[in-house]
Amino acid sequence: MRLKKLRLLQRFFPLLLLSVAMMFASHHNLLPQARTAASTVALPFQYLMNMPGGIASWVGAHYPDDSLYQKYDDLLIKQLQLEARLQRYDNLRAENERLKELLRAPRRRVDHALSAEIIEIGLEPFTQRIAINRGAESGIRMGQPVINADGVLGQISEVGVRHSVVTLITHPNHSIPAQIRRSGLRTIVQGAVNQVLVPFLPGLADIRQGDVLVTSGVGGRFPSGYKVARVREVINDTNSPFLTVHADVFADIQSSGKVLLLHKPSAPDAK
Amino acid sequence: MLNKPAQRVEARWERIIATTALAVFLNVLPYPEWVKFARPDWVTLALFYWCLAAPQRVGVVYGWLCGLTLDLIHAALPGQYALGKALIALVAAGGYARLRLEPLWVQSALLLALASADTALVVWIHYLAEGIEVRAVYWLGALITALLWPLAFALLRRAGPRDGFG
Repeated sequence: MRLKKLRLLQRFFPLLLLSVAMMFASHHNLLPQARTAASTVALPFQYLMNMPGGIASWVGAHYPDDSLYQKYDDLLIKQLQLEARLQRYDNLRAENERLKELLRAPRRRVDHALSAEIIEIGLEPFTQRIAINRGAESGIRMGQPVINADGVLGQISEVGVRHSVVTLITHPNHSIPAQIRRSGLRTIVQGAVNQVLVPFLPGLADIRQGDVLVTSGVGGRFPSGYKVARVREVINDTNSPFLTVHADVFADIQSSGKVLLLHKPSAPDAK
Repeated sequence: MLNKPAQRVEARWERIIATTALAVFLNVLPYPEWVKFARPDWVTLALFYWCLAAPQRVGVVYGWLCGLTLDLIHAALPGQYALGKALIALVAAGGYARLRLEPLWVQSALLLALASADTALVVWIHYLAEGIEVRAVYWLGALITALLWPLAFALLRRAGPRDGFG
């Protein structure tokens, strides 16, 4: 009995050290290739879960959910609204092109996008990262921006063969270059778990409650013009040289399982 | 111990692995939003059972490997689930001889403590790495896991050697 316990402990300690070493290495991104290779272990499970008509969709279909009809009606209405807006957008784009031609400005490329789905597995309840069902096979690359209909979600931080991991803009280690739509003020938006902060703005900066932050395109990772967050409150603490700005992100992973992956703008990998 | 070691029928490997794989599968199954925090940890249940039923085979290393699989599927920092499951296996396989004889509710209570410690470890690591806010609701899953133990025991004993823990 004693002996067996001793043997268990003898086995446990190397594993303990190994676990800690692995977490450390992974957190500091020491062996990215090993990580990608190891994530293949998850493949058979993901494959089974994502099979059309497979277990996941079967289970998903049997949960009490909003009625499909209701959803269908909502989508029809939304579609109409969007089409109406798109007509205006087309006009604006044509006008914009004309004006740009007059100015001889280089034309901006239209961003191409690839759609993907959020896969439930890997969604631990407490994490600022999600997994999607596209990977290296679909041409996904590190750092690719991920958005949904509401705004920017985050960027690809890990690429597997058929899945990849998205670090959300609410992740505390994530920052995104942004600008205030109303005033054009450029800044960065930093993740802060379920919300974002706008750090380093001096007390006189032109920012108010309700301001919309959009991507600024600075740095070349995120194309400009996508909605990021709306300012919830601006606190001017006289003891601090900077404003404290809290903002809520637009993109809600709960609202829809679909996301779009934008192709990086033509600038080479700039960080 | 009731039986002499020589007479004990060890559970077959394929049954151990099949039930564990099933548990992993149940763990990563998509759940609706409202049970998000209440999802039981089937892997812990299976691991706990096999540590008691087949301690010669299932132990710390097996638990660690189960956890590592979960780590990779969850795309979590690798090693956190592995460490938690190894810890559960260490306690369960270390005290199997006495634990087997305890009534189910005692085993459930121990499982509650172990699953809570496991959750605490994972939450702590997320806290260190990502700065998440720690909420009591994260431990609901551990409670559900412990409550499901009698059911898991009843189901798994059919897969194991005859007569409960054999």
